Amino acid sequence: MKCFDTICPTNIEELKFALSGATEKTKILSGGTDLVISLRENKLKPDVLIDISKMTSFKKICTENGYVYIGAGVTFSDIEENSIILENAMCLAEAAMKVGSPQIRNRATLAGNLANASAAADGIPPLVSLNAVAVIMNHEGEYREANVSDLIIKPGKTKMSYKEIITALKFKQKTPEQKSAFVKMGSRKSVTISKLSASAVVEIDYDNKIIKDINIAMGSVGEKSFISQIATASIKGKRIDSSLNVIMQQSLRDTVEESIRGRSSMPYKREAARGIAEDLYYKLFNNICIQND
Amino acid sequence: MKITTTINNKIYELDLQNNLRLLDVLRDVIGLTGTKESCGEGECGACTVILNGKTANSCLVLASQIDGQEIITIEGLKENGEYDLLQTKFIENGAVQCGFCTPGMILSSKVLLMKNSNPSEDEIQRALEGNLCRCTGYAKIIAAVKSAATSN
Repeated sequence: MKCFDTICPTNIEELKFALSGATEKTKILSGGTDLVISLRENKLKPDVLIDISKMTSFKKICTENGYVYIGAGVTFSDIEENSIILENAMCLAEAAMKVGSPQIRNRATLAGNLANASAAADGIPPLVSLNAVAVIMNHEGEYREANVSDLIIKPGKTKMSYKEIITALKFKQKTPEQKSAFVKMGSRKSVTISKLSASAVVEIDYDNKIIKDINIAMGSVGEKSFISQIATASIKGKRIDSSLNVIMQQSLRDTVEESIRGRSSMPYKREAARGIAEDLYYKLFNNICIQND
Repeated sequence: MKITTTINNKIYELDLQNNLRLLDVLRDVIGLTGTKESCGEGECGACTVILNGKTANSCLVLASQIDGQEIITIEGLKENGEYDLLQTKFIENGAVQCGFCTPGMILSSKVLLMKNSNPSEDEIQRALEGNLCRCTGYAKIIAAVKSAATSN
């Protein structure tokens, strides 16, 4: 790979200074599991790398004012075993467990997964289904928040400027009525790129066994993860019984058909979506299902 | 850039080109050739090392990222000329054929056994999912790890 300068900020002031000198060729190095491959393949020839692996303040997961914050340096390994994530965002923990291999999970960061914006990213559908925002800082230390789904333009491209950096991901803590799950499907059981994935966050009326609300975010369907309006419309208000399984399968099937009509992968993904839906159904509702007569 | 790093409990002060990977530092700068390069893109695990107590693909770690960090390579497992129990069990169980995947396999197994002293077969498979082997078909590798676990 072509050589470059490397800056290693250890605090926010040093990071701001590094960002102030950034050009459109400057890249941020976090876990490196995507970036280093691109460098090796000469797909990227940065002038400078800003290596944020020494930013210890970015390695925290915490809760504050009803929100969960995941720092930009938090890895998928950190996420899959963290009690705050297991409590508040099972969909994100389940996605983290299925990213790559242990070696990859130990280095790859959720923020980097978002910034890389692959259409098949596993960290993004959970964030979208949680209505998560990215906390973004610029070279002058000004912060803004951007909805994760809005932030992505297309694969590999976000709305961030080269003098900006994601400092954290943020989403609301879970209420007692909420539950979430994530399912992915690839060509292998593990260490596989998703061919199709879905993350569901559901709000349940446990007394009446009815779905109060649901977000299902699709992954590897089209250019970026999105919440299926078809799924929300079909599933919201329904009773939790075995017919819900069929409704979920149909709604994800229709979602795929509508979203990537004309793509050669559509017939496969349209059918595979039914399996994804059924897996989600069992993960979310198996223990509260009403038995039909 | 100047970096200080600890490899197999020895401190190194190095002046490295920024575009070197940890894999290159180990093999070409320091001469520790036990860590292998196979795919070069973090898929096969032949380049696995233990970085701050966790496994990592050294082909994806850049030089700047090892400053102040602790690394253990396969060479670090031998103590006072004695093989680590895992290494002995791999040999006894026929889990080594060409040997190219073996350093990575052993380091991933080592980290597993440090966290989980009696793993199930599923847990072993999961811990080794990032290490590919083209020779053995994995069964003897899993048997070796099981054997090392139950010997303790």
